[in-house]
Amino acid sequence: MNSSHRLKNAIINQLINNRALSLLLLLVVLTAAMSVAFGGIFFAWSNLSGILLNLVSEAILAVGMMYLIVSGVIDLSIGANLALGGAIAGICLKGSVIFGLVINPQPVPVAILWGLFASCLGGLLNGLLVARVGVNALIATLAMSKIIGGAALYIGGSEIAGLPESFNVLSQTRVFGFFMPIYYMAVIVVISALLLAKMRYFRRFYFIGGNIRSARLSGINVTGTLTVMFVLMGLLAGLAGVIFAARMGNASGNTLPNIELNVITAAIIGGGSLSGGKGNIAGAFMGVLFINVIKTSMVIAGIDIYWQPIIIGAILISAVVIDIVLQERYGASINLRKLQSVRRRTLGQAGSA
Amino acid sequence: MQAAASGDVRISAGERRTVLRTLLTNRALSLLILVVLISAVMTILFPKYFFNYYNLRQLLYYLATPAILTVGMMMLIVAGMFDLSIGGNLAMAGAITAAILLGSPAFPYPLAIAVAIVISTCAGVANGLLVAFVGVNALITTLAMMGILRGVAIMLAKNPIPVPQSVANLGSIFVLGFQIPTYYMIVIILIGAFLLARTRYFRQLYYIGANRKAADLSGINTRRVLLVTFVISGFLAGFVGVVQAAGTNAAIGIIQDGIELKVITAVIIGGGSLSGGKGTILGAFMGALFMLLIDTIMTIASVNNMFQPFIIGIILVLAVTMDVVIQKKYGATR
Repeated sequence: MNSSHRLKNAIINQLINNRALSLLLLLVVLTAAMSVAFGGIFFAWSNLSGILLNLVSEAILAVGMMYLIVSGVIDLSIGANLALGGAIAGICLKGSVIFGLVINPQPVPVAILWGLFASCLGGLLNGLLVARVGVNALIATLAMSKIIGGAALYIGGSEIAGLPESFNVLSQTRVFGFFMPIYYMAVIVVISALLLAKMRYFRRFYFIGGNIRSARLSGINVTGTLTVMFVLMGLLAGLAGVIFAARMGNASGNTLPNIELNVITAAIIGGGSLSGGKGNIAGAFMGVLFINVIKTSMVIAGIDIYWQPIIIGAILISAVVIDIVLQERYGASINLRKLQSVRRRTLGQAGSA
Repeated sequence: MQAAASGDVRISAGERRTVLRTLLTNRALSLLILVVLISAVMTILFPKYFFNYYNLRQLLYYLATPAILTVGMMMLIVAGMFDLSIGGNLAMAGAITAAILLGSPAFPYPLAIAVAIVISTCAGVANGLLVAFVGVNALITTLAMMGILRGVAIMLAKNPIPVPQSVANLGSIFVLGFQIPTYYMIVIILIGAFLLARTRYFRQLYYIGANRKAADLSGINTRRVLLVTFVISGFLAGFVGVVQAAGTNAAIGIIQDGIELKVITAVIIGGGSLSGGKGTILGAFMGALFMLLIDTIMTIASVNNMFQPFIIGIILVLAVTMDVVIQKKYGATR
C-alpha cells in the first residue's frame, strides 16, 4: 500500500469518525462562501460575538445533553429547568411571597446558589425516576418538564423584571470585546470536554451507553452514575438559566421554550447517537455552532425566517443519513483494510520466522 | 365486605387477587373505572357544569383530534417506534387544503382534501423509509420531519386561511346531536382496535416491538410492516388536519403545536410502553379521554392556568411510576 493511499484513507477515516472536524470543515466552507457573498456584513467581529453570545445557553445545555446521550438517555426537561434556575435566582434577588412564605431579597451569590440548587433538584428527580424507578428517560423527563415548567411558571410568572445591577453585571460586562457569558461557556465546554475525554468516572458514560447490562455486570454503579449525570445536567441548566437571566436583566417562568429539541438536534448533528455509546463534547459544541451559523447566514442572506425549521430539519436528516451511509461504506471497509494489513504483517512475520 | 359475606357470591382471597390483577393490568378497564369515578365526583361537586349534554358534546368533539391520532401512535409505540411529526403534519394538511381552495376556488374540494391527505401520507412514507429502511432513529427522523412539516404549514398559513363552507361542513355539522368529528373518531377507533387486536398482519407489530431481531429472523418483513405503520400515522395526521381546519373554519400554521407529546402521553397512560411490545387501541383511547377529562376538570374547577401543566406532569409521573411498580409485581400490563 503506497503512502498517498494510506494518507487518503487516514483523511477519510478522520472525517467520518471525527464529527467535530468535519463540521469545522463545513463551517470554514460556509464562512468562506458567506464572506465572499456578503463581505463585511458576515465576516465581522460583531457578527462573531453576536453568534457566540446567542448560542451560550444552547452550548452549555448541549454539554450536559451529550453526557446523557453518550450514556443512552436524554432529558427533555432542560428548557423548563433552565427557566426554573433563572426564576428562583430572580425571586431570591427581588424577594417575593410564595404560598405565604416571605422571601427576603438575598445577596447575589446566595440567590445564584438557590437557583442552581433548584435546578439540581429538578435533575435529581429526573435521575431518581430514570435510574432508580426505571421509567423510560423520554417519558420521565417529558413529565418532569411539565412539573418543573409549571413550577417555574408559577414562581416566576411571565416576568421578574428589573433584577439588580450587581447581578446583571455578571453577564453584561464586556472583556476584550466579548460579553462575559461567552467566557463562562468556553470554560464550561473546555472543562466538560476534558472530563469526558480524560476522567475515568466520566469515561464510564460510554460503557453505560454502549451496553448498560454489561456495564452493570462489570461492577459499574449504573444507577448512581446515571443519577449523578442527571443532577449534573440540572446544574448546567441552572447555570445557563442564571447566566441568561443576568444577560436579560430579568427572569421569567417561560424562557427559551423548545430549546431542548434544538439542543438534541445539535448533539446529534455533532456526532451523538441516540442508541448511546458515542459522541464527544467538541462535537456537541460544533453542532451548536454549525446550526447557529446557518441560522445567522439565513438571516443575513434575507431568507424568510419561516424557512429555518425546514432547513434545520433537512440538515438533521441529511447529517444522520450521510453518517449511516458513510459508516456502512467506509467505516467497515477501512476497518477491514486495517485488519487485512495487520494480518498481512503478522502473517509475513510468521512466514519469515 | 359485609355484602360479599352475606350474599351468595363469595370471593376467595385468590380470586380477589385475580380481580385486582385484572384491574391493574388491563389498562383500558382501570382507566374506565377512574373516568367513571372522576365523573361521579365532578357531578356531585359541580352539578350544573359537569354532567350535561353541552359539556359531553364539547368533550367528545375535542376528543376527536387526539383520539384519532392515538390510533397511529399506539400502533407505532407497540412496534417500538413513535412519530413526533404528526402535529406538523396535520397543520400542513389543513394548510394545503385551504391554500389550494383559496388560490383556485373552482377546484373541486374533495380533490383538494385528497391532495392534502396524500401529501401527509407521503410524509409518513418518508418517515417510514428513513426509519425502517435507512435505519435512522425514529426520534431523530420524526423530530426533523416535525420541523420540516411545521415549517411548510407556517409558510403556507402564517395568517389563518379561511376554508369554504363545503369543507367547513365536514368538521362541524351536527348528526344526532353530536358534531361529525365525534363519529369519525368512533369509526377510526373501532377499525384501529379491530386491526391491532384481531388481524394477523397488525399483530406482527407486537412481535416487532418485543424483539425486532427475532421478528426479522422468524420471517416477518419488519421493514415493510413498519413502513405501513408510519404511513398509517401520516394518513391519520392528514385526515385529522383536514377535519381540524374544517372544524375551526380556517387553516392555521401553528395549530396543535405540541400535540405529538400529548398524544404520546395519552398512549403511555393508556398502557403503551416506549420499549415496545404492549398496548391496545382501546387503552390509548381511554388514555386520551382521561387526559382530556383532566383538562376539562381543571377548567371547570378553575385551576390556575399556570398550575395545569404541573398537575398533568404529576399525574403522568404517577402513572408511569405505578406502571413500573405494577409490572414488577404482577407482570406485564395488557
